[in-house]
Amino acid sequence: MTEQGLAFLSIGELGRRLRTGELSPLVLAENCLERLERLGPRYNAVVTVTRERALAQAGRAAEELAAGRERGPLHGIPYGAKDLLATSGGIPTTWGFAPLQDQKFDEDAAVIEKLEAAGAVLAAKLSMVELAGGLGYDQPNAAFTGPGINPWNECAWSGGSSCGPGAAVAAGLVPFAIGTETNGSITSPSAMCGISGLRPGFGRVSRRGAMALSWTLDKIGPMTRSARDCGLVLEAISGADPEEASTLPDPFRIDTAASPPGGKWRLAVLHDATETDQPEVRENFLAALDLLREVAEIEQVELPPHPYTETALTIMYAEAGAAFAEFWERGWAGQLAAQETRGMALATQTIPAVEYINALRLRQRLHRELGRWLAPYDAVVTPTLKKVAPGLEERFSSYFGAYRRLPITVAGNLLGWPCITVPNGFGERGLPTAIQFVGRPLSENTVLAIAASFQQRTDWHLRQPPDCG
Amino acid sequence: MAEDEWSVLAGARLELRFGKPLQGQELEAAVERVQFLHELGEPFRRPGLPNGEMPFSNRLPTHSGRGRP
Repeated sequence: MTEQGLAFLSIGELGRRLRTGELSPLVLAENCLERLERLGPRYNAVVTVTRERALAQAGRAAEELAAGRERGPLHGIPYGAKDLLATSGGIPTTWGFAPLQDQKFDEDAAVIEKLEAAGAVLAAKLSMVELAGGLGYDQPNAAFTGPGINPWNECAWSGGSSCGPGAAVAAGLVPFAIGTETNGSITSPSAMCGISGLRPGFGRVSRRGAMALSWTLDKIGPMTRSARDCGLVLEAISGADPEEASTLPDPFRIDTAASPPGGKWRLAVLHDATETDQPEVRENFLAALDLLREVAEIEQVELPPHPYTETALTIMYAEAGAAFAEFWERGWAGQLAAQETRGMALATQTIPAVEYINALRLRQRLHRELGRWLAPYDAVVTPTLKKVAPGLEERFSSYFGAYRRLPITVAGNLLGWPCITVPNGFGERGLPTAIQFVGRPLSENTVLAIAASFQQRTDWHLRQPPDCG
Repeated sequence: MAEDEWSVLAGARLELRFGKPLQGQELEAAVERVQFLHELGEPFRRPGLPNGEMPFSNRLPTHSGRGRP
């Protein structure tokens, strides 16, 4: 098999070859390291290639597999981690921000520990929008590593804030990556790069050792090439953490038998789902709905009107203000790559506590009201984004207008609901379009199964970007 | 609110937070963002929803008996 062919195999297939001895973990790791070093800079996707650690972990995996000691489906599989997840051993953790280029931690983040225990191989720390966009940004050049570049069209952005994970998975640099999401940072780059991304429900994955942007909104999840692979990674990284109070007591376990109770899934489609000025986004979504009707009853609904964006952003910026309180004292505002929002560091310090608390109160009410609204359905289905990735010179405020974050995306983040995005075709400038399934709390198995059903009927997730060999 | 009024409001809030007046470029950059955040906070100052419902009861709140606000 060619080096490029190996680079685009699924976790399931790579694992099978590793376990049968057809493929050595060291060969696979070296393949990824070479691609990360050669192609990573082309997409501004990589901050640090962790070659030494990767080869040590791959060597250990080779010995264990040869001895018949299997740690599970990720044993010997390389991955990349968004560069806000702490890594020990002198590997920098930069948070995408120039003044922190030499920041180092003594311990691994919980998710890195979990992946080590599962036998996965850390091959790279991947680029991200500085501070995960927590102080705002309005254009792609918002990190010291430069703008994330889209493997499908190198004049387009790879999304944010998990731009490196999106591009690295799409270009076959790693079989999977770990991203984080506060308000769209897994689903948006996954959609723009044509990969499968899962935002787990709040509390599924420990955030210990991850940069804190918003204590009540931050989530960690997998970015891969298929829904099935997302499930494999989530199973490895989920679970209770006594040192992280938000984690749920029970780990996620894949339910391969997850099937609709009445023979078909019940999907809610938002009445304004096809409102977009990009016809391909609309056409691809309608074609996807036609396929989904084979496995689902689809009913049109309206999202109850509430100030979702105001609620989510008031909470996010108030918590970011607390997280980055030292920012101004350290004189860091002038060193932001995204100078257009440099005043946010100071401005977040002025949010009145009353507004923050009232936003939390409204969120409590929304938990109840939207929980009842979604109860008759297995998931809400919409286009993930109403436009394909913007060009590298675009201002988001003018390119996206009202479409930067859809209300259902904001509501899902606000309430900690799981969501998976998968590719469903191509639009302007050869860039991917995507469809998302937003599920009820604790329904990761359901959204994964629906997305897997869609991927059994399509091959969009198997497509490879041009010229990334 | 006019821009100079925003500037005064932002300056006052920041002085309260940091214990000293801010001036120049730092204040200038912050004013626009303070305005942005102030507008985001509108539903939580004068609670009212696009559909005309109130997000909170008009009555003074009582504890629900389970959990946080």
